[in-house]
Amino acid sequence: MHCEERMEKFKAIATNPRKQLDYYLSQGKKVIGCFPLYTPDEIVYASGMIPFGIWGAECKVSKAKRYYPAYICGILQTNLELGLQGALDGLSGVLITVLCDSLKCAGQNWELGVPQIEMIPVIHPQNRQSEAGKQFLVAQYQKILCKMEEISGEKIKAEDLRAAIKIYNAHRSVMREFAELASVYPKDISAKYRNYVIKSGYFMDKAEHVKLVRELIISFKDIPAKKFKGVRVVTTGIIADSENLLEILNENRICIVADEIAHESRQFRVDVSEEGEPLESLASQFCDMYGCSTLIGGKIRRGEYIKKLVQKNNADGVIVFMTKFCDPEEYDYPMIKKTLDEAGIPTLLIEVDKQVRNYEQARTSIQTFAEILRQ
Amino acid sequence: MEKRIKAHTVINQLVQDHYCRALSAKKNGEMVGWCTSNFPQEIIETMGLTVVYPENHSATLAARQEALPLCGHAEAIGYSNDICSYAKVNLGYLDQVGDQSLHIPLPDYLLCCSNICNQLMKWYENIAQELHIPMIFIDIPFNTDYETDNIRLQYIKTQFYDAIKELEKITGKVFNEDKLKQVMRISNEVGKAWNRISDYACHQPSPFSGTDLFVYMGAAVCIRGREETRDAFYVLLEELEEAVRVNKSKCRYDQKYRILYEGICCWPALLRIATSMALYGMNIVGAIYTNAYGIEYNSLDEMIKAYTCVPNAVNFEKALDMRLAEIDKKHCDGALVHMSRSCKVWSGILYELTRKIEEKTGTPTIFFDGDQADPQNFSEAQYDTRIQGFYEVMKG
Repeated sequence: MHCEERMEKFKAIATNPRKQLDYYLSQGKKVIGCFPLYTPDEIVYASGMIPFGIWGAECKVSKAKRYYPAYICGILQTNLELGLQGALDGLSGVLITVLCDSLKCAGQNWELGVPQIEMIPVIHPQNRQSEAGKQFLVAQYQKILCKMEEISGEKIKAEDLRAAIKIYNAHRSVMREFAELASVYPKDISAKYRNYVIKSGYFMDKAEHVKLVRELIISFKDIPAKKFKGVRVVTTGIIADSENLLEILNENRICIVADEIAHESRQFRVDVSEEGEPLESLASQFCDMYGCSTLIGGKIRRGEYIKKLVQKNNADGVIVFMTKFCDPEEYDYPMIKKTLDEAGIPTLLIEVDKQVRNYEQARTSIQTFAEILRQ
Repeated sequence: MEKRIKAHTVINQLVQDHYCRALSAKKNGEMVGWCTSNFPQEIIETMGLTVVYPENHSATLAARQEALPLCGHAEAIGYSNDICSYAKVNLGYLDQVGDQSLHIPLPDYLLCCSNICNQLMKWYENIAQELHIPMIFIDIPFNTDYETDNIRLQYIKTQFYDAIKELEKITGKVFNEDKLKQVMRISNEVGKAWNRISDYACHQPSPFSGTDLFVYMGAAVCIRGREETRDAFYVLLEELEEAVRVNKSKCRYDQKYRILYEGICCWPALLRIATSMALYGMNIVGAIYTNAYGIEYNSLDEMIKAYTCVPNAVNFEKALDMRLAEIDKKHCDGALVHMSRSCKVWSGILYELTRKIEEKTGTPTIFFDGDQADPQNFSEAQYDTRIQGFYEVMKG
């Protein structure tokens, strides 16, 4: 199979999550929805159920307007809309975090509006550098583990958790490898297809996704990289999966050489230790996470991390995909901008919204940015 | 009449003194902290630290119509119009102190507690980074359960003592358990007094105008661990007792409708709200926002639990129960709901919360769009139309 055909497979999955959900349900599998960010998917996986990412959809919001004012981000508006419309029926539960103020409301509104799909809260600590914070998280994960046992009807043993951690680490590793591959083959792997490959992972059994991505990487082995005369950028933000928007990058010969997107590489940044008590290891991984707008503290500030990504990947600039009404990102932006300005790295801010399909204004900005970077 | 002026004056003077104390401390080379409003202030009082509360400062500037240029400045330095307007006012002030009518000294350290919202953490973390100062952080995560369990209690309690250790290192001041007990006693007395003041509104007619509570809450926010605050609240309680005895309310108009005020105070429009209340014979007798500072407890564990139960930290069920209890206790005829544009954690559940209030109590409700500090988010025309409609509904 050619690499183009392989990539079409990822596209088919990424653009039709409901089909995937129905597929798993038809196989007699139970599926658990996972809101952004840092849900302990390994625990779900260890119970034999499928973790299924829910990071919004490009759909019209109507029923969710009964619950949210207009200034809650599109990811959470459309997630609730999907729940209220019954588009996620079949899920056996949904994990919702409280990592921002809107997520706190999301869990409460979900519980009230979508009673057919149980809301399972994921309460992360923010004092992550202290042992007390870590132990608090271990206790939260223990509660989630019990809930997963109850829903799946299966006892989760330590070896099940270890096996799940191993698969998830393999997934992180292969996705990091893929991100690098995409930076070498920008003519073959456009921004849009790069995103299909990553996004499809949210709707698949991770072991299956690892296999498919590995095969894709191998298929590029003997293909020489074509000369690329375009612009090399690092992207950052919460999510950047709009096909129309990513197509604009392609039109302007912009290659994503690395990303710092929550929905993309941020998920693959830190591995889980395969030694020791599994729940402790999972908690440690969260505590070791850094450079994320929804977390405070961490060993490297986000601006510095992006700067390093730019330098390491020889990028020409940074595109900040600002999710509309995402206050954690809005607080980070001036600090990131300052760090990048001081380092002489050009930045472009593009506002993204799940409810927007027409990015004509962004097209002009991206075009101009690309022209400036080419000079 | 004379006594009314006395309590009002005493409380206002205490808040003014609080700001003056901080400014002179800074001038005298002492370290000054910035603190979030529901941080366990018992630590601060016990250690004799000097702090100010930027949220209160922003609210005061907003009420004095001085917030707009500061919000504009924050936006000019890269902050989105979407973030909390208390933060915008403060970040604007931090970057460009101007000729405001009330000043605060710049901080040497920060005290942040996440029980109000997550935006506070981001706001304070940015300041810590900009000014290269330490941030002492107590994390009280949002509670999706009704009660505070022991796991949560232990996590917070450990942080409570960790924060003390850090503060001892930073300020060189010493923490003393006996002094903590004394401060807890006083704070508890202040909390009880504050709740008793609020409960005087149970009387019919209420002996005071509800918007006064928003003014007095400055003391409950900034100096709720001090004897002079307790004593000032006692003076107010005496006045209220007397007003009830002689059946003469400080609210000068006929109170036909008893109102629950839902949401954060819309500081830029406080005068307009007070005027409209008088125009339609309404009086605010209950407010969840002001109740947030009536913190009562009998032990350290109870104190910590109390800080986990402030309005934005609790789940929907508990939030609803708080409102139902207030409506019931204060015999409210209607609920005026402020959708503060800045406060997502509060506004994000208000539609459903309001529907449930109507469903369970039959109490009419009305929304208005506004903001705790940014006047651009308040529309006079919309407010006037809504309040008139609210009046028509209650009049029946």
